[in-house]
Amino acid sequence: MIDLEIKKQPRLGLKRVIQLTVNGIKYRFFRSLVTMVVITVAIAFLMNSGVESLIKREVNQYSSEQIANERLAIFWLAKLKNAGTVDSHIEELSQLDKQSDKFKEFMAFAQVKDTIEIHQEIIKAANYLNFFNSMNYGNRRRLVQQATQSRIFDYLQPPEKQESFFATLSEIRSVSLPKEEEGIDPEESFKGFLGSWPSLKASIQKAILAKEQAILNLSQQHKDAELLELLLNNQGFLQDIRNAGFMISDADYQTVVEQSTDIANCRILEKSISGLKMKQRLASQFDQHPKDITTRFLWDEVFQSNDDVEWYITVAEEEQVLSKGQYTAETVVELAESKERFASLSESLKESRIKNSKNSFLGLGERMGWLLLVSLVVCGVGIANAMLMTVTERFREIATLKCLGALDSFIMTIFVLEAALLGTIGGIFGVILGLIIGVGRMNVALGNVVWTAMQPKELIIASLIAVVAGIVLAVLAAIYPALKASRLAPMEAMRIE
Amino acid sequence: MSKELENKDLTNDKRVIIRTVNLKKEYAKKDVVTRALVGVDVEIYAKEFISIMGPSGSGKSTFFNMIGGLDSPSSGRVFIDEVDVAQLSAPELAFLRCRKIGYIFQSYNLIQYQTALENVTTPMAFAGVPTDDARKRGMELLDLVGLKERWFHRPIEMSGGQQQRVAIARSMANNPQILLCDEPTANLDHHTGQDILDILERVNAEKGVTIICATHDYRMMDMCDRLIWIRDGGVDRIASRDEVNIQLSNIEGEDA
Repeated sequence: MIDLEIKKQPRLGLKRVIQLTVNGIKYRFFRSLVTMVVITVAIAFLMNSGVESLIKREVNQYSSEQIANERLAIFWLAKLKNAGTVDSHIEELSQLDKQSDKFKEFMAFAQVKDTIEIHQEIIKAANYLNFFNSMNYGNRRRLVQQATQSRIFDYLQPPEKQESFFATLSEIRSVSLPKEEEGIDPEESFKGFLGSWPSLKASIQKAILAKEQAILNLSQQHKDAELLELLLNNQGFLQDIRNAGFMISDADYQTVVEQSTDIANCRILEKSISGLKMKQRLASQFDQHPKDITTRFLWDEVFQSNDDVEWYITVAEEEQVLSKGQYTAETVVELAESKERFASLSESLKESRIKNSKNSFLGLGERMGWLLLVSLVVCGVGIANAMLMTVTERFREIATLKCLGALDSFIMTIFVLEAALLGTIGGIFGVILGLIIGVGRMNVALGNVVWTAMQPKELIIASLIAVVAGIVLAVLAAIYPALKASRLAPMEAMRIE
Repeated sequence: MSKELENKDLTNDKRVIIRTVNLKKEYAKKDVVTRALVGVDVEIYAKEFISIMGPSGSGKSTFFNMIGGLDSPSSGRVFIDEVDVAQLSAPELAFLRCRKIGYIFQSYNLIQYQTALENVTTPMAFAGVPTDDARKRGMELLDLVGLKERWFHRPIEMSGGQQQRVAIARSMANNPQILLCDEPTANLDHHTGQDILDILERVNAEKGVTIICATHDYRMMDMCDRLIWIRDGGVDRIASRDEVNIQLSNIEGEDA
């Protein structure tokens, strides 16, 4: 018999450890499956709320961009009629790049040279306006009485008003001025802004006056003709607009003309049913009361299928409300489709609107951010419970392994490894499940725009985060009971059962 | 059997392998203190076959766990090969449990998800034996307990006696000097119990392994070198086999 000196026990190779762990999972397959399902469901929940928030945000952004594009003609029609106000200028200009055409146009109208300075001033003004607008009514009333929008800045011009304003502001704890720059007192920078406000306002008003003059000149030049007509039929109108001082690119003008055509076409088509005879014929064809024949009925019911449209065109030509060959069925159906697309875009924009999205976690809105946090906690508790159970019910096995000479670190490793394995598999399944449910739900709620607005990159990052969250939560939940089990003397562990 | 026993020369090799000094263990649960051991001093020699007997609740199992390094005493010391167990760090304790001592339990405690062979080779893996060597030795050990043909069976597919034989093979994996058996035959019928006892006796005789058995089984008395009676947490009596046999024959005589 060899006498053994007592030494430190060597560590087991990783391959053996993994083999042992996988064997253990295989044997307790059903139990492991249940743990995995718990992780899956928890991660699916987490992933689902994350995906829905992301998609909502993306759809919101996408549809507002699309709508702005679709409404380019309406934007220009409004612009060529109305010069706007100081507030509308601040809001619009603050969102523009200072190199953009629109900003240059403003600079030209206002006859200001220093682009950088005025751009900064406008952004500051927009920030302060946002600050006052997001305040509740009571606080605003205390601070600036009944002044609203940019009139607040006018109201605060006299020094004594400023003094009382800052005094009141220091009393209201929940409200503090936005920070403009690091290291500069917000109060000082607001005072500085108020000092420069009159000149900014003067510049904007100058631009508005110049614009009004330009619009007046333009309409006199064309003898008060309707804008829509001019856009459609006057070849030289683009040059006239540019001469008046407005900046519009050729591509934009092209789009404006196209959309104006659509608008004009819609008007003609809608006008075509204003006569009693047309209404009666439509009513008898579609079995409706003549009073129910409205423009809405026309778009939603009649202009949906080619056959109906063809019938309508022949009837309208008979009744001489449409001139012969003016429209083919295809163009009308196309018009109806683009109208519908626009409606669905506005619908998804409305649905995807998130409250307070400007200043909350990931731009997800306060409610979604909170939901995400709660789901993370629920997820963590669920996984912790599952892992705690798996470890405690294996105390006897742990004790046996320790009797056979297993190191504490080995016990820790097999449990952490098992948790990581279950966390990975559960996390991946959970992500897939959450993704399917989230995208599906959003598809139902917001329409097909989801597929075009979705950004795969963001979703992939979110998926990775969710999988990692699954692994980390599972491992964290396994560490405590495993540590406890591995530290116990073998017999104490057996006694616990 | 008696021949093999005679081969063992205890008198020439009275090396102390386990020694306890004033061993005490108390279990405290809130205000109630249970004294499981109240100061035990015992010396066990190498290559001895010892039976520990005593009624249940006498502290027998506690004593057994103490000398196996499975539980820590409240006070007093356990020396295994003149090494104080309390002084050992966790990895050193693992080393001790892995190579110096083999454990056999009443409820076998095999790892349920491993085959017989895997169960036997696990302690060798912990000891750092290469896989191929471990398998070879594992088969030899299974052969020793007569289960060579069933190496691929899992515990659930085996009878109690077979499981206990696997447990014995496992306990022998790293050539331990001491085998600690906690009522190895308690869950088995008479005949299978006898098989287990035969294997233990053979191991003791052929390999010179010190065997310490906590038991209720009176057949043990016939094979052990010494008997230790434990009562109320203390050593009641220590007797050699010869003395016991005389008593036993007396009892049998009276009964007859």
